[in-house]
Amino acid sequence: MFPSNQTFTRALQQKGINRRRFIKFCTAMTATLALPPRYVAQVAAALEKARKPVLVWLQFQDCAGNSESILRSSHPSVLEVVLDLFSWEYHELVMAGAGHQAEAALERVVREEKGKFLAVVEGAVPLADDGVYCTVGGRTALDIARHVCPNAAATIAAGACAWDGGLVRAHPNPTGAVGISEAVPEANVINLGGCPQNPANTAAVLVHYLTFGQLPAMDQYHRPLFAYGRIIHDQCERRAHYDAGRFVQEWGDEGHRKGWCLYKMGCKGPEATFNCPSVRWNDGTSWPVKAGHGCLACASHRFWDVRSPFYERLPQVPGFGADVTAGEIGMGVTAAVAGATIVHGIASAIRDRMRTQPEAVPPQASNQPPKA
Amino acid sequence: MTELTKHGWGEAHRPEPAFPPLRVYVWEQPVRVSHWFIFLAVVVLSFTGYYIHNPFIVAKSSTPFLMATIRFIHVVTGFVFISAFLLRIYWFFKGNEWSNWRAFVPVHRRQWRGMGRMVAYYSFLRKDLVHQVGHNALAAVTYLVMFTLMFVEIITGLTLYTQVRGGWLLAPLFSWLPRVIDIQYIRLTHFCIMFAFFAFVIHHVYSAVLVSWEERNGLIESIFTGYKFVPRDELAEDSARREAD
Amino acid sequence: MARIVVDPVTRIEGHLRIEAELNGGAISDAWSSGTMFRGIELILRGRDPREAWIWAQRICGVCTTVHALTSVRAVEDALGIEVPENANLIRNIIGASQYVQDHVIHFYHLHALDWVDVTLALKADPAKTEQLAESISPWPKSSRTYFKGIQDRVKALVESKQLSLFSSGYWGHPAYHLPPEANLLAVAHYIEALEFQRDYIRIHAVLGGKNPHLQTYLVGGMSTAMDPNEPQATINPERITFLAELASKAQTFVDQVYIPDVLAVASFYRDWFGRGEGLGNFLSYGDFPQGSVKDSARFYLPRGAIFNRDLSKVQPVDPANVAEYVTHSWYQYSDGDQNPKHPYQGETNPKYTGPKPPFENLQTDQKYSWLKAPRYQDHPMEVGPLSRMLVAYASGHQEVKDLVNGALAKLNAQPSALFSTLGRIAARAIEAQLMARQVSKWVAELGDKLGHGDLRVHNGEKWDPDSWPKEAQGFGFHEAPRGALAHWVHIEDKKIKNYQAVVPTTWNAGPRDAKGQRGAYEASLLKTPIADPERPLEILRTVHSFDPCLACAVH
Ligand code: HEM
Ligand code: HEM
Ligand code: NFV
Ligand code: SF4
Ligand code: SF4
Ligand code: F3S
Ligand SMILES: [Mg+2]
Repeated sequence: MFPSNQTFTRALQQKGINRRRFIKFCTAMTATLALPPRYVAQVAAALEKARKPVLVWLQFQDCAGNSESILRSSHPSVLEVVLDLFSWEYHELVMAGAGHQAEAALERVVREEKGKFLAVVEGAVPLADDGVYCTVGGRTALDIARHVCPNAAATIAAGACAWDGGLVRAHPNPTGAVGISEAVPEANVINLGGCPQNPANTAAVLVHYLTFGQLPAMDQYHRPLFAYGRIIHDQCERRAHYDAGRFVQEWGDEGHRKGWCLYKMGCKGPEATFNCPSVRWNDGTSWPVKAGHGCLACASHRFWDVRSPFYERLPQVPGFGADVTAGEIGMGVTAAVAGATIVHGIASAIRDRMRTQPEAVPPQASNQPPKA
Repeated sequence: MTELTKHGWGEAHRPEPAFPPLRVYVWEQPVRVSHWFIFLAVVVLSFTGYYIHNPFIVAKSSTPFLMATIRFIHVVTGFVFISAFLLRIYWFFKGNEWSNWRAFVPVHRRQWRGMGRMVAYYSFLRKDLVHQVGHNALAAVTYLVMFTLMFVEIITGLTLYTQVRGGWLLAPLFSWLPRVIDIQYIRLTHFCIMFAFFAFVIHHVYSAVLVSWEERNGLIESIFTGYKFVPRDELAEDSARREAD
Repeated sequence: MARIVVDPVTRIEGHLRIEAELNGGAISDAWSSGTMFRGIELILRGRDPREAWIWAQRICGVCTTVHALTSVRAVEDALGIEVPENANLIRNIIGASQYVQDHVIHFYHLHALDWVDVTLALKADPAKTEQLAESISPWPKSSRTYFKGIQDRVKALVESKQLSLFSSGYWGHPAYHLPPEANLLAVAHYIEALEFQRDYIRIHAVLGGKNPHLQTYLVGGMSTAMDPNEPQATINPERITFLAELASKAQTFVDQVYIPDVLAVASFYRDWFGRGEGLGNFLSYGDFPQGSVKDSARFYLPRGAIFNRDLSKVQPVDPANVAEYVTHSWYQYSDGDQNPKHPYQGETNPKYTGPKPPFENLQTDQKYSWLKAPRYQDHPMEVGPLSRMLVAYASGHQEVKDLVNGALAKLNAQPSALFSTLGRIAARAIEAQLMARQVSKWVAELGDKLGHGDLRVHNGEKWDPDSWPKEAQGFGFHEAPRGALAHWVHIEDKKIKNYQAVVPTTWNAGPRDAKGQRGAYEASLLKTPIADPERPLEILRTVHSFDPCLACAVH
């Protein structure tokens, strides 16, 4: 909470936050961004210079889980993000204004901050039936997204729904939902997968933007590499148990109590990239696998359809029932072939027998030398 | 027709030839070597692969590295498999007429006719086998399918490998694939093909025994020794057919 | 007559639109519309019932966890699974702490700005604020320097002209009448509550792996393994200590900050004890089983219904009497839209017939919302903390009676004052206080179980789908923070055949039914005076008092 012409440090000091804590914050940010420690000074310098860029947070077909998640942010705290680092001008979940006044606030940003503000999008955008499945102020989500996102310096897709349509887009996708970069291809989008995204990563992206004036390095899905570059399984604290072959077999069994690997319970850690094991959730308190349940790979592309069923190793084989696993189908096919072979063997033996009935064939005619 | 009095029921039905069959060197060494390395590798890969899919042995608290070892064996054997496969592919171009790629790709009408006859034979619509020096047309196509599945298994295997290990050479070669087909479907494919191998082996061994028995040509031995015992007329027919193509 | 439209209604979850007719300075009719639909009930079809909770939980990320619990209960009911005592206890802790979390956030971050004019805090005298704070609570953060610091931050914000979230508020509206000092106090607590909610929710992180969207439920129990001697077990003595610490901090916060603030604000807005009443019908499924989920008599919060404000009679509740209309909702029933359907026969066939966007007004005489209209025995019902507290109060729940009577005495008000906008706010705060205590008690109980070696957290008898019948139906319920929540699941061939959720905000924010009976929001807005139609703060006050969650309501 400081005038825009004041430096960030002074503002922090005004809040009673001393230099040491500020540097600590910058160090934490530098680490989350996977930057070498020599960048701490640059992060600090950038934040000290920072004027407050404007940010708007749009909610479409969402559950507000990503908004709630950002409320749980601790380094920086949501207060620091919302009031000190940015001017957070629009966010339906928490903004003071409503109705026309809220719409006007958004309009003003698009008009006056064109090309300079950041947009965060939460939730999918429905395309079916002219977008009637989500309207705000009588306008469709698509209409609003097309109006706001191309005018933003960058658009942050917060969570699976905004990235790739998420749960809303899962089969049969009743509303024709898509993620923001599909809805508005011309927007400059960074995707923060996860259901919800982890506030530590969102904060890091925001600080990166403040520090370098641009988005961090991204992968093929436009996700920041610092958060999505590594496989969960390779960072997991239960990994030693996996390597040793120590697996939880039943919920609550001895292995479960001892923190063994959840692979057999359907853990999707081996096919999930995210930094849960290192940054964890809620101030580093825990993460799903630590708490005893398998990972769903919630930061993977279209994870709802391609990582489920969540208690099986592999996806469903298309065209078979929901409870039939690939293993069962494979075993079935193998058994069928084995069965058919046995039947065929018996049948062949019978044919053999029939063909060798002595009376069946006249007793000469054969044993000629070859014609050729 | 068979000289029935010469042997009782249950024996083969090929006419007892007047002249002893010729001993023909059908399967050259690389064919046999790759065949048996592929076979051994598939056995090991299936066992270890299935364990990776479903670790049915769960270690005690003190057992070290069970899963890690199994995965290591799987990957090392995977590379043995790849080597044997590559050898066989090389021999598609270098090998004799029976192991040449032309023997597998059904481009001629007679190959399709041959397949039809074999299907008829297997479904008891036809009494006699189609005699062949190399593979019969149906077997050849089946092998072609299996070679394709082996290729897919290798590609998916290496893609999984780049996921679990990375690496400077393989990662750039294979990391594009999961962007097109999700890694879970790559896994699923890799897993399902294993059962195609199971089904194939059952049928393969059975038909080898069946045909060997019916033809009395030393078929089974041939994949060890390389030699088959072929009646002269068939050998002549075989080369005539190929020349006609 | 003039029509007021508030869209988006903000400081709620989801997309809510209110249209109201203004007649002589007061609302003569109102329509509540949910403007977003995702189709989660349809997306759930064909999936493994054991993972339904993972999907259903995404109905809402604000009241996260509640749909997960309701979903596992529905599947457990269908398959006849009893969960171990520990699992029930853990679920109770998660649910009760969700109340505290949600209620605190609602009051400070979603609702307070309807009563508190942030800009007025600038006029406050920090010394007098200190006096005010100390007169209502022993909460230690109450020095004049502390309040001065807060005031400086507000000042800096206002001077920067970048007001951030506060840029578009109805500041200076004549309906704000807290003294400046109370405004400053509230702003300070707005900030403190932000920190409180973040720290407190680590209870969910411990027991659920993360919040929002906890990830430790299982059909049959919980995946939070317990072991007194294993440092890697999710629940061990060290974690119990941590939970107990958080639980006790929360009790202090609610007792010393939330409750005194609510009472203080209420005492300045006494006119709102007479506004926003609504239906007078209240429904609670009851919750927090102490033993079997089937044994509703032993629920910590009782089950029951109250009709026509009659606190002398609590009617029994049978979920068979719930049904949903789509007469005014953008759906089609296969046999016509006049008759309601019980959720077991429920259908979700979206069919938008509203105006083509962009639009100015809805056709409120026809279909006008994505919410269905749930009814109990054909009555529209209000659900939520007020319903729960009234049902508990009227059922003679001693702790609830003491807390409610205590609050009423402090406010010098009658129980009938509870049927109002402020009544909802007060009931929510009282409930937070009650449940904050329960969290501590249940954590202690869990610690006891751990100590005595009772480590069962999951009943795996029916984990294998091969053990299921060919077909099964189940009902799962939960008293979510916003009220009575239920899921109905129909399982066939190990897959979900039909899934229906009837959600608290569907009850409260739903549209009219075939008989034209209004939903709770619509009814509660009637007669509300509007000082400035351009800035309908009064509408926000009453609608917010329900704590709307539209993602929940439509799903
Ligand atoms: C006949 C040949 C093969 C069979 C039957 C086979 C079978 C399997 C099976 C069943 C799995 C487990 C899949 C799952 O459920 O996750 C697997 C995994 C794997 N296979 Fe193979 N495989 C074969 C060849 C190969 C080859 C040629 C490679 C190449 C190096 C390979 C590399 C891998 C890798 C890296 C994994 C993943 C291991 C992990 O998850 O850590 N496989 N294989
Ligand atoms: C995974 C296991 C196996 C695979 C993938 C496999 C594959 C093949 C292939 C591709 C051929 C064609 C030879 C070539 O042109 O390269 C072949 C031939 C042959 N295999 Fe196997 N084989 C397997 C196991 C076996 C076993 C266990 C036997 C033991 C009886 C066997 C006996 C033969 C025989 C007799 C032939 C020559 C058959 C002919 O002329 O059509 N194979 N096998
Ligand atoms: N209405 C509602 Fe919920 C709650 N509490 C749940 O069922 O908010 Ni999202
Ligand atoms: S990604 Fe998950 S948390 Fe975010 S809006 Fe979608 S369902 Fe909610
Ligand atoms: S628990 Fe999951 S992520 Fe961790 S080691 Fe096991 S399989 Fe991998
Ligand atoms: S489910 Fe998501 S939260 Fe992390 S542990 Fe798995 S990526
Ligand atoms: Mg519903």
